[in-house]
Amino acid sequence: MPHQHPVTIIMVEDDEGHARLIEKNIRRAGVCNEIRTFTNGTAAIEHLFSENVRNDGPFLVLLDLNLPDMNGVDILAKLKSDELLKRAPVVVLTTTDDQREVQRCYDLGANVYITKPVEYESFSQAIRQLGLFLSVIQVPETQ
Amino acid sequence: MGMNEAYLRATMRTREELVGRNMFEAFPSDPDSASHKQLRGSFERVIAEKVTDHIPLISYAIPLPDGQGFDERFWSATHTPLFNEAGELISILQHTVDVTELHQLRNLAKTSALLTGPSALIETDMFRRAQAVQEVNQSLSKERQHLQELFEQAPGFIAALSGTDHVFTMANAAYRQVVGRNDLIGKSVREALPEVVEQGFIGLLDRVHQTGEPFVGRGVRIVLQQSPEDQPEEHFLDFVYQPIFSRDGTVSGIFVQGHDVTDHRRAENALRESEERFRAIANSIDQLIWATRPDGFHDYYNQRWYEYTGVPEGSTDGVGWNGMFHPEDRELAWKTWRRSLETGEPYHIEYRLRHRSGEYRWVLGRAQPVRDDEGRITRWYGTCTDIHDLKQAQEALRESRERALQSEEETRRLAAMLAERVTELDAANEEIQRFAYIVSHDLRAPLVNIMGFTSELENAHEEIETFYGKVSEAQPALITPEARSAIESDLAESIGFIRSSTVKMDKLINAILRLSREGRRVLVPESISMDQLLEAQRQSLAHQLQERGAELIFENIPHITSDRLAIEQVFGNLIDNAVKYLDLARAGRIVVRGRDLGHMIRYEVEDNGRGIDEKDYERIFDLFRRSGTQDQQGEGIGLAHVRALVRRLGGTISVTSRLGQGSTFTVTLPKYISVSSEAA
Repeated sequence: MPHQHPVTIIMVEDDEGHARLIEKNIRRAGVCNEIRTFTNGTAAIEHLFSENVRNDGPFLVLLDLNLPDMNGVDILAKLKSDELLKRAPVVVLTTTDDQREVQRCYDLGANVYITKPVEYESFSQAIRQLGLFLSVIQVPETQ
Repeated sequence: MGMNEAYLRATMRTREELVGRNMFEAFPSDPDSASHKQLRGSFERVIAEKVTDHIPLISYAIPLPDGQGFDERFWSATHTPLFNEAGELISILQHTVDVTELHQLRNLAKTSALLTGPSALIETDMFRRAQAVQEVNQSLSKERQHLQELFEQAPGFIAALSGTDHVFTMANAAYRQVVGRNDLIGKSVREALPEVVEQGFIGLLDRVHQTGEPFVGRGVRIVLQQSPEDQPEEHFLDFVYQPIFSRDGTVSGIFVQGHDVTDHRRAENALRESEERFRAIANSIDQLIWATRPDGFHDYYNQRWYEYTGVPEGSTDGVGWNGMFHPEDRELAWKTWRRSLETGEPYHIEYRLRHRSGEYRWVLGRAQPVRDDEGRITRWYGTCTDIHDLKQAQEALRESRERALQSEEETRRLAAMLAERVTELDAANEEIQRFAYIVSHDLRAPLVNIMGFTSELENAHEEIETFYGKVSEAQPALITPEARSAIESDLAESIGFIRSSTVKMDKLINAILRLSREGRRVLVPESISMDQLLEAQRQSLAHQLQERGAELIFENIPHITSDRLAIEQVFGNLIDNAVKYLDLARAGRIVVRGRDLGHMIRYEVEDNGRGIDEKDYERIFDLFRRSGTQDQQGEGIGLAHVRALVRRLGGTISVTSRLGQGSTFTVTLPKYISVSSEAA
């Protein structure tokens, strides 16, 4: 049964340092789910829209907007317009707190928007909250 | 009638029968008979001429006293006029002799042989002579009457004066009509016409009388008072005083003959007046006026024509006018004029007339024919009106319109260029903003790593320190001074510098980001109450103001229609700066004032703070640049931000300041923000 699978975390992040820091903090928060990292949008979409992945949820997407090959917003839109993938929660993680961009992401169906703060403490804090969030969303998915 | 005894005896009448009766009632006769006419004619002559008249022989039948028929009688009579003191004819004295017997005797002698003796011959001869005289008289009388009738009816006035006193002996009806009275005969001119005495006529008569030279007067003015009640009336006379010579060559009288030409003269005067009036009007009109004969011969120009052209009077008569016009216009003028003359259609032309200055000036020529009762053209009247200035104004207007069109085209071209340039600038601006956004975004990404991994380093440092502590306790020999320094101080110090630098860099990046965002924000114009806006800012600054013991004064600040957020940020930054850089050595005073300049409003934020060095006037508006003692928080962004905002609102900002005395920031903004001001 697909819903009995643990949630896979799909991270789309071109900055390897960011990816590493995020992963570290997720682990520190006690989240042990599998994390798959993609450093560009094309690879991430290819993976997500492959038939076995698309039908084989559940997963959570951590999405950076500033990608080398495309804008993360386009990925968000694509996911949210897909019948199956739209159920996957999307956490937008980006460096800007531009209000228009935040609003746009929420309009497209983003579940959480997290600004990557320079102060590391608040960043880790945010990631840990995300871990808490992950544990919460895992409940309905496992039902 | 009145009469003596002899008259009564001769006429076989009593006094009672005759006194108070008319001659022709008392002695009736057939009015058509020769005798009646003869008697009546004699009376009329006396009445008319006031002179004695003789009837040598008249057959006039006297009715018999018993009424039984008429007694055939022959008479010889003298009729003498009798005048009263005023010289009026009051009666005629008839001295008559009954010559019936003499007449009968003569008739007897004609038929009887008895009367062939000398006495009878004498009688007969005497009678024949009397009869001959009578016949001559009758013939003369007829002729005289005929002449008198002619004289009387002559259309001109005729009078005869006799003697040195110029006594009227004759005056015909026309004369009597002119002088307005009938009682002239027998009176001197002086008596008859007292009003002419002072008018020189007596003198003229005297001279004619003395010299024998006739006098001819033409249109001589005379004032006549035709009766005492009438107003004196002016007459004009053409007349001749012709001396009458007697046989001895001396002047016996003066024959006066002439015409009353008053009406003619009046008509002449009226015509002259009318002409004068026409000339006066023609000359007073600003237009040039001319007139021609029906054949187009120019024979009149008003004074203005000569003043205007400066040519001698008369020099443009006939066809001379054509030469006054511009050589290029002459042929057309001539053709147009000839056509009007041929067709009778009004003349209308614009041509150039030579002004006395030598300049050819545009005039409008027009002419109209005047026709008589039968529709024949009698004259042409024309005008020339100077339209040079008008024409030039029209020309100038046309040129100016063309220029305006050209300049409009030029303006449009420039506007198109400007629009293109604006589009380019907008694109460039957009590019810069995107660039700033991307740069700040991209700069932040590594910064996140630096910060993140520095934290990781700190965590690692903690681990190392713990480990180092354990090692130094268990194996102190392993601890070198280098290791001690690296772990105990270098690591912490390095991490500290990395941290503070990244914090600073983060702030800078945030500032750039804010500016780039501000540039992309859509301005929303609204009516802003500056009093309320500034009062709100005073509230937010209340603490700082109190702390520094400073006062913030708002003076007469005009309201504005603009973007509220931008205005808030502009004034917020300026007032905030003013408070921040007050000189604590004196009581702070910040004044905000404004002035309506029409399309723009000028605001001033004046402080008595530290002031700004003149060399820094421009610098302070640059990003990340500051001036003076750096003892206040800030990144050097505020004024750069303010200038960016003011420019976006379509305004300008400048500063004047004196170091140690204070600064005044002057912000000039459009009263109404418009979409176009944003484009710039």
